[in-house]
Amino acid sequence: MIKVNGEEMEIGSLANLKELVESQGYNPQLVVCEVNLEIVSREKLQDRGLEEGDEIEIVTFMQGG
Amino acid sequence: MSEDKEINTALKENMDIKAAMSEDKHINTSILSEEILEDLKSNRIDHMTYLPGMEDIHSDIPERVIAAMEAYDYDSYTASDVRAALDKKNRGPEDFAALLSPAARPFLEEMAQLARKEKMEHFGNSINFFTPIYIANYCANYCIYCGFNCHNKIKRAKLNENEIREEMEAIAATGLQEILILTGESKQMSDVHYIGQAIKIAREYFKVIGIEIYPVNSDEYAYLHECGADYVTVFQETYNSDKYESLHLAGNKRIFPYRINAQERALMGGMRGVGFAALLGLDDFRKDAFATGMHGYLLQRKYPRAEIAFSCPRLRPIINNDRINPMDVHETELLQVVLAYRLFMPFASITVSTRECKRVRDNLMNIAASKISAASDTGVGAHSEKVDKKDKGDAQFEIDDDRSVEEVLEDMRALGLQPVMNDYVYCG
Amino acid sequence: MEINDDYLDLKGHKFKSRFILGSGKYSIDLIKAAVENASAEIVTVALRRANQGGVDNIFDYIPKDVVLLPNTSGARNAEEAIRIAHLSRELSGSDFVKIEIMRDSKYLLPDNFETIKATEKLASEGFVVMPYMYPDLNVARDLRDAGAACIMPLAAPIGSNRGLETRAFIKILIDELDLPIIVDAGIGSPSQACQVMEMGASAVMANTAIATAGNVPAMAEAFAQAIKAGREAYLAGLGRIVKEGASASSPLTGYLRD
Repeated sequence: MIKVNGEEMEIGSLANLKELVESQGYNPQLVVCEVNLEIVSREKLQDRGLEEGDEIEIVTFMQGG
Repeated sequence: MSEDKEINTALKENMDIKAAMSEDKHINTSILSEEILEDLKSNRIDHMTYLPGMEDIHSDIPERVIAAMEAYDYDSYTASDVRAALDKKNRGPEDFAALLSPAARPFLEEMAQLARKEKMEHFGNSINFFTPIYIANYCANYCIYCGFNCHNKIKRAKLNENEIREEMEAIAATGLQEILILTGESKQMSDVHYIGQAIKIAREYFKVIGIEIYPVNSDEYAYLHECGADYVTVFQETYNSDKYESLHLAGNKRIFPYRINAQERALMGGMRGVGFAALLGLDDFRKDAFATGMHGYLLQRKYPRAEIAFSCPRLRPIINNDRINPMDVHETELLQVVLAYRLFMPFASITVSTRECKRVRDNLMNIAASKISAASDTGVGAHSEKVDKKDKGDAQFEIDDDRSVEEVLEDMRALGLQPVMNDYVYCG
Repeated sequence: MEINDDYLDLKGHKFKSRFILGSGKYSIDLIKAAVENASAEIVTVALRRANQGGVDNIFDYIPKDVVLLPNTSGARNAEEAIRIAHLSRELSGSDFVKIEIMRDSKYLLPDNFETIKATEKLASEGFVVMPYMYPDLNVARDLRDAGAACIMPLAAPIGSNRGLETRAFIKILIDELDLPIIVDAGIGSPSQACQVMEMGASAVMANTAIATAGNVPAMAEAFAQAIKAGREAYLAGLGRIVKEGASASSPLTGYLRD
């Protein structure tokens, strides 16, 4: 079990962070990922495997003042 | 051959001095005696290099003050610049520059009215009282315009602790609660510990203690603050370092950057307030007054807690030279300087010394100044009759207002001003 | 100063425009027109969790030569603001960050003390830190000492459109600090934006006033013109105001003798 943006989910067949991002329908170029409070840079998304208990945030820019 | 060369060099040096003087429109010849003219030819140490033991705090303030002063072209200001400065509520350096310029001369009355209004807003009608106490007049400096200079043949003296106590007792009996402790600038004859002892004694008699002594390092200021001093005044005399060099021929005071950083070191040492002054009449008074104001302004911005004070001394006759005068700084120019300080920094304390006569002082107190000394004497041991006459020392300069505390109190009240003996108590 | 040499300088980054445009509270397809009409060179954005199912690409709506200024909205303390700033830098690739730390959900007033802490940390990491703050002189000085690129005092509670409620305090910041003062929050109309520029503010940041206007791009343009006019008036030096009732008082300078 991992947590993605606060929601629990199973790792299933996802091999790495890049696959997770894409599986959620995000363009990896437009988001930033943080795993357990550590930022994983875009180039390293596919090097970062998923581990049980990972808490992942996927964030992007929205309108704001 | 080599002898010829030496003679040529000597001639050239004399010519250089003369050439430099003829180019400088602000030579105050009343200071120069034959002896001083001779001494001006001798070799002197570099006045821009710190001597061993002098703390260098690497501050950017002097550089900024000097740059502002050098850029100050007072003839370029017009009546409309002055008008704009007068119409503002919060004035900046450019406004200060305009108010000090010749273009402000026709506005003097309006400036005075405004300055009085500003002063009332910040101080009400209160006037702070204090008196100076000279505890020693030994001096290691050769400042050619000063009565204490080490080559001037005057009677030297240094009060011992008993004599200091007697002097202070006599002063306290007049009702004064603020004192300014002064020495000549000899660290050897009046060391920091001696001054610290004087401050500790002063604590027993006074609520506010200022010092006007030779500049020291920040740790020494911290020590003097611990002893009970809260305000440090250092006159830069002139901010033109070339002119400074030709006026201060020997002694620690010769080192221009060490002196100009004194106020900042005092603040680093925990002092509550610092005082600034150019001795008007030594050089171009507009540039010097501008630099003095900028010095206070920039330090206050860097140390917002610092209380800022300005003095506005003009040159006075001294023992062995009664010709010394403030050159082109007449009463009108003095007033303009005081008004410009007040309008630029309405919250600053402004003192007018007993170098000025009663008429000038009382008017300046009424218009723009906030602090006055009474029963002043620049001699050592002058306040108490108990100090033996043989232990008293000669004065630094001639004063022009010898009113007693009681007389000044009366005169201030007659002007509708309220004398205040102290508005703050030292708390360490 | 010549108008042509007049730039807003944020830690060496120079901007011709003195209008920072917020992108919140209005439709994303209006952003491009608003930015263009505002002649804005800096636009704020906020970091949020991506919505499942894909996101609108805000980058597509903001012209490429515009600097994105991510804010740290949502942060309740320095630590959270720093975290958001790090993520934002990763995403925007630029060092600009606007610190916004709020612990009050009713008035949304910024927490000055946490803001100082965050500023110190982020400035030391090379960020161009633009802190949003409640106008307090001592805090502004602390922010400057902490390495802020400017100070962003609020004119009124954020989103309120109430105008210059903190006028006297903002004037003190303008007078006492050598850093750019960018008035942020509460400015509700172009005339108010013009006024703060006349006072000597370095720039204005506005969002709600434009987002809630009848015509968003048109209001963005109105703000741009007002800010420009205010700046030019400031540089020109305002004319004098004749005070009512001349005060006849006895001359003070009659004592002079020479």
